[in-house]
Amino acid sequence: MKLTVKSKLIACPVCDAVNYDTGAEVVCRRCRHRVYHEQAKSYARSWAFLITAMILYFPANLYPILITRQLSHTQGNTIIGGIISLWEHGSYPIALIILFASVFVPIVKFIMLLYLLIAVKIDTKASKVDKHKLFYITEIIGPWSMVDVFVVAILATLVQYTYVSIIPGVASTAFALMVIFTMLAAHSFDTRMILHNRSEEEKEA
Amino acid sequence: MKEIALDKLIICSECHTVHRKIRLKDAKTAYCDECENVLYHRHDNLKEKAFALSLATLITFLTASSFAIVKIEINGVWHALTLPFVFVTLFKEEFFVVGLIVSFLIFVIPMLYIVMYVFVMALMNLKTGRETVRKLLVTLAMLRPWNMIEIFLISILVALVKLIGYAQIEFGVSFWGLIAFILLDIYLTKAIRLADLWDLWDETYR
Repeated sequence: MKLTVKSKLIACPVCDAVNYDTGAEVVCRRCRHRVYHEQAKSYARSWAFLITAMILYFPANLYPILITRQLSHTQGNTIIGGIISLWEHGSYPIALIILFASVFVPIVKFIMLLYLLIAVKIDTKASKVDKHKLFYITEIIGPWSMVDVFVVAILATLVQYTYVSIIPGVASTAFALMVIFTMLAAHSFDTRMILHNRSEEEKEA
Repeated sequence: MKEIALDKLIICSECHTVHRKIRLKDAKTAYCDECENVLYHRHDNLKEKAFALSLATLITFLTASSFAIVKIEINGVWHALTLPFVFVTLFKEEFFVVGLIVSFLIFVIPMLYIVMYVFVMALMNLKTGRETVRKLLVTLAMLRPWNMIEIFLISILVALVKLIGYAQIEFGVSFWGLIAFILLDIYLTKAIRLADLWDLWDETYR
């Protein structure tokens, strides 16, 4: 049954219990965990994590993620290069998975988080329900960009021969950190900021 | 509104619409009015079921991490991939950051998660350790987004496709163990939601 409530209520992200929103720090009444921090702090933290992740996106794409050593010949492969060679070899589904997971997902996450963070300050037409869904999607698709890092780790573990070996490139570190930082940015985003925006809209109406 | 009244409410995790909880009959599911997302389930014998399933998941995890997941052969030399030792090569090549991140996401965190899950269910079945279970459940919620074992499985398949034509590939016992583990793990974390365990916690230690 859907309800319309006057007092501000929020769900605890840890245990789903319903709590009163005091606007500042909230300690959940069921799990006793400090589930919400001061809004200004989590806003700044979210920005910091997001900017770090965006900076890391450049080395992650420009440097080789995978280095193949064949006898004396060494060849580095960037993410895009890897996708192109998979495509040329006819592995279209795999090329598409990598393209989606390593190139699109991070960019989509950046745009979504940027939008959500900017929309806290600037009034946008989008409804609060849509914003919550957008945030939900950002949290769900986030981890899938790790695929490329895992693939490099697996190949590096398996292909260790005297005449051919695969070693991870610099980009794998940058990429792994980038995924971690985008996830941290999403986690420190305070969903109350979306609600806050809505209550202001209602006052105007 | 009093605190008790709050217990009868639930907020949709997807669109944050407030709903009033109603008692469900049998093993049914409540959906959100606004976006049709799942709100909560009513499980039959959740306490016993979750305990049994978590033990089974722990066993499959042990199977998945004790033997080779895949083996490849180039010119008669075999190399194997085992779950706990992925970081060894990465450390040897001095990729400490990636090595640590990867081994945490695919081995340490899934292991901690399932071991703690078994503890939670065991304590709840014994009806002891109210505060311990509370802390463990909070930790489970913290660890959950960092468990990436199912993404690792997809990565194995992608890596194998890249190796086709260069090496002979053989699946080890742990590959099937890993698939069983992932299926059970998804059931434990998606079909039985942590919020359901919190409701069970409320019931158990009232």
